[in-house]
Amino acid sequence: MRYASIRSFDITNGEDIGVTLYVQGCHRHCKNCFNSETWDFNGGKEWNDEVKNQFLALIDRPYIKRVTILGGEPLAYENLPEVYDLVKTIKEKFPDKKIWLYTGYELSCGINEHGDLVGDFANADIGWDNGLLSNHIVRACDVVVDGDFRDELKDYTLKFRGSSNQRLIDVQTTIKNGTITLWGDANE
Amino acid sequence: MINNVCKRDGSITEFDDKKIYAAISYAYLDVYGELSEEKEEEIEQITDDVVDSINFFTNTIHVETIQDIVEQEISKKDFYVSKAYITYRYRKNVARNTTDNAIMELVGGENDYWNNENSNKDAMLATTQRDYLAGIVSTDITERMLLPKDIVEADKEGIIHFHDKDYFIETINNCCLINLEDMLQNGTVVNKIAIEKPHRFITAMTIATQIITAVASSQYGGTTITLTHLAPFVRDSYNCYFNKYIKRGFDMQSAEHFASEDLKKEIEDGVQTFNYQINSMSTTNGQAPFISVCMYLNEDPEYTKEVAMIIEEFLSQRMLGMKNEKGVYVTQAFPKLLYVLDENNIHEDSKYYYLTELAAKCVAKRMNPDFISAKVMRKLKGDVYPCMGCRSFLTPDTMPENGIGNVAKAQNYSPNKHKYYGRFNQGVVTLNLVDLALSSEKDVEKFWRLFEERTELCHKALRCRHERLLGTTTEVAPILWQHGAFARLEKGEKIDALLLNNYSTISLGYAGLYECVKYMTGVSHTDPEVGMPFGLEIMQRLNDKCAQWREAETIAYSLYGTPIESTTYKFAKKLKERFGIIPDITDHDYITNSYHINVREEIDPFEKLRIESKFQELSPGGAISYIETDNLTGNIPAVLNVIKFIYDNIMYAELNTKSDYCHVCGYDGEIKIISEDDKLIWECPICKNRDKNKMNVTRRTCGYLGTNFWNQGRTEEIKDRYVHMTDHEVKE
Repeated sequence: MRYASIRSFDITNGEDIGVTLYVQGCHRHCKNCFNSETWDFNGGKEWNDEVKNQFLALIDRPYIKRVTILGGEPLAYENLPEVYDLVKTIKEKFPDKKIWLYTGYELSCGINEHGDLVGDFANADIGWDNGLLSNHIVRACDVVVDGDFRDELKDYTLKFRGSSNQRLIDVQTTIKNGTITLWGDANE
Repeated sequence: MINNVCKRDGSITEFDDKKIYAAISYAYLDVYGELSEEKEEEIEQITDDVVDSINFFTNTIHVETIQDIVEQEISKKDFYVSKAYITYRYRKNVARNTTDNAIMELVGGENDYWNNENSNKDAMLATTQRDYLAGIVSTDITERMLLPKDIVEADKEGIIHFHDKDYFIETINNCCLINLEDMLQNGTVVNKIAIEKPHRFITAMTIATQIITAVASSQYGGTTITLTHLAPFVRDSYNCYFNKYIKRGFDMQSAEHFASEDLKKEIEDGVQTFNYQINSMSTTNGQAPFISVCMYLNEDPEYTKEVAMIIEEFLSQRMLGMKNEKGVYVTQAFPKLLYVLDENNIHEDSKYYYLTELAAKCVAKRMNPDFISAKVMRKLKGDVYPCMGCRSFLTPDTMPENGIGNVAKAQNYSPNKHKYYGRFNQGVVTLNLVDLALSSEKDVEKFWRLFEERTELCHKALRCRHERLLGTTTEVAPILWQHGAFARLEKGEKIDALLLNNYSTISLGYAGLYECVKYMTGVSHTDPEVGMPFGLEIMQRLNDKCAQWREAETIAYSLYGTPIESTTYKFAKKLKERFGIIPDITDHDYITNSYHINVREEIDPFEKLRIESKFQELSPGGAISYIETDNLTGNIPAVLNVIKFIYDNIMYAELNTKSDYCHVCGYDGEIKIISEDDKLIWECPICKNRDKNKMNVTRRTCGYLGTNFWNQGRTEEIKDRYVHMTDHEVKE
């Protein structure tokens, strides 16, 4: 994986004070994307163990309450293994810190006739298919902001997102309820 | 070649030899009545000679120097004319009073100095001008008659700053904590009218504002009251309503319910009255009273509940703001709010955490309240109490230990407790640490030798302040000395006992620790290896000096992080004059306040507070730390995160947010400072409006909020402030 940039201090991409990783590469190419230099999967810088450790060190400060991963597209097929590895490490090392993730994909959630969770929040086995990794990434998060940026719905007054179609999803409650549940009062 | 002439008021005008010719002609006319051709030729000759002599100078020459040369040249030609010229100069000099220029500049309204001298004062207002007029006279007499020459010289050179010369002619004090409890509970007198104990909260609030205005008019610094002193009247009001409903035959439960409803309304009205009174009244100092309001739940455990009710109302009304002349809600500057963090409001499960959440929302929107950590303060001072006005802290008194007792004759004195309300400060003299460093030429030995000399010069200046007050009788300000704000002394009695016995404090100020350490060591005082130890040593030695003087004189000398609101510009200009431009030391129009980390330094907000707390601890006479933030109204948990950090780490801190207003387009975000032709200009980023009369800009100047703009030096400092609390990318 490659990444575009890291913020050591962030108050914009989520609640409280956080650190932020902008991964590199995105297939969505939304019109008037604020960050189009992150589209190219070969752009940016190499994400390796050294960078990862530096990122973890930034998280490891008492007043950092949140980690936000955005991009680029963290749930792009190419980025899944490293993003999964990262969220897993954060979960283990810093169980009290919140994880936020921004994706252009629109997520869905439901319950099938057997009462099992289906869709992007389902607890699928991790096998050979990277596609299922994305479920595990999502499930490790506290808040996922989903949906393309749509220029015609752009609104600067919105909290933590760019256009009004995008949703702040409360992941753990969504899993519990079996249906997409919005987070906090920021969706109004 | 000479191009310019510097006039007496400092303004520069183009050199014109016709003026020389005219001046010489007048002297000739004075002697001969009319001018023969021969005399006219002589005048032309003298003019040419003067111009030749002047041309030895380059660029700019002072008008007095020109007149000296004219005098010389005439005397070579004509004794009688030169005598006439000398007499003429002498008479003009006598007529030219020492304060004329300053006064004409002030009333002319064109001079930047006066317009930006104090960001809480509007120099265009007739009422403010009256205060400034008195100030000009006071400064003049202070410099010519009241202070020794060496102090006046050092003050002029910016080696030290003798504060408040504009009030020094009067025997009044600096700042204070008002003993409002004594005044309200036991009665007071304002303008010879006796005011008895009020029966209800709303009356108590009205009286409080009258007391504040009267006190603020009798001194030149800030005042503080505490809500704790008003809380008993909330209970009185409640009981009053409750009894009314019981008398009307309501059952207990209904009576309680209705009484609570009525009380809520009364608190609303009382707080609103307070806000309107404070912001609409003007003191004799030509401004709204400099008032801080302390919000401390645990000051008197008996009234925690009532204090909580008043705090909630103060914060709610503050968040809303006050309307400006356009009817738009804007940030008000006063009162400054001091919110004390303690165990029962800091944790998410604390009983009064909802108040801290409200305080977080309020500070994000309106830059108030400031935060005092009871936890850190108990550790440093042993007690919890507010600052006097903006940042000046009392040191605990020594009355209980020394058996001095109730020297102020307060009626609420308790011999077992330390006393804070009713105490005050005698004034400030500030040492310019940057000049000290530069004068030492990086020689550490010389540095400490000069340190000794200059701190003793400050000591001498502080003694002048103290001695100016000694012998003052209580009639100077009856509200302070006779009717309870500070004391209940007799008419005609001297206030001397309150100037000694460590009852009141006197402040050794300091400024520019950053530039001082940077020049001496090559690094900032944030550097843990070299800079910080040296910075801390300077602070410690300043404290040692205060301790030594305190011990010898029983005057509570205390080290104070001076706000240097407009003095920063004076210091910076003098440093440039004396030492030239030295990168990162004298290359700005301001120097760094107190122990603050340089405003340009890119540092994490928590790291800034953590490091500054080490220095704040050594600034017991007062100091405040701040962090500069982006708009945080959409991220209150981030504000609470900082507030919790303050509680654990630093005694007194504040957040500088931005909420301006442009009258032209209605924009209410941050109005920016842009630089054009070496001038700094405030400009609305949306409509590009630059008319200061059509915008409201509120910035934390030093401790207080300023709303009337600042001088060039302070404006540059505001522009340079690194925003600590915003998104920061990791640089490669």
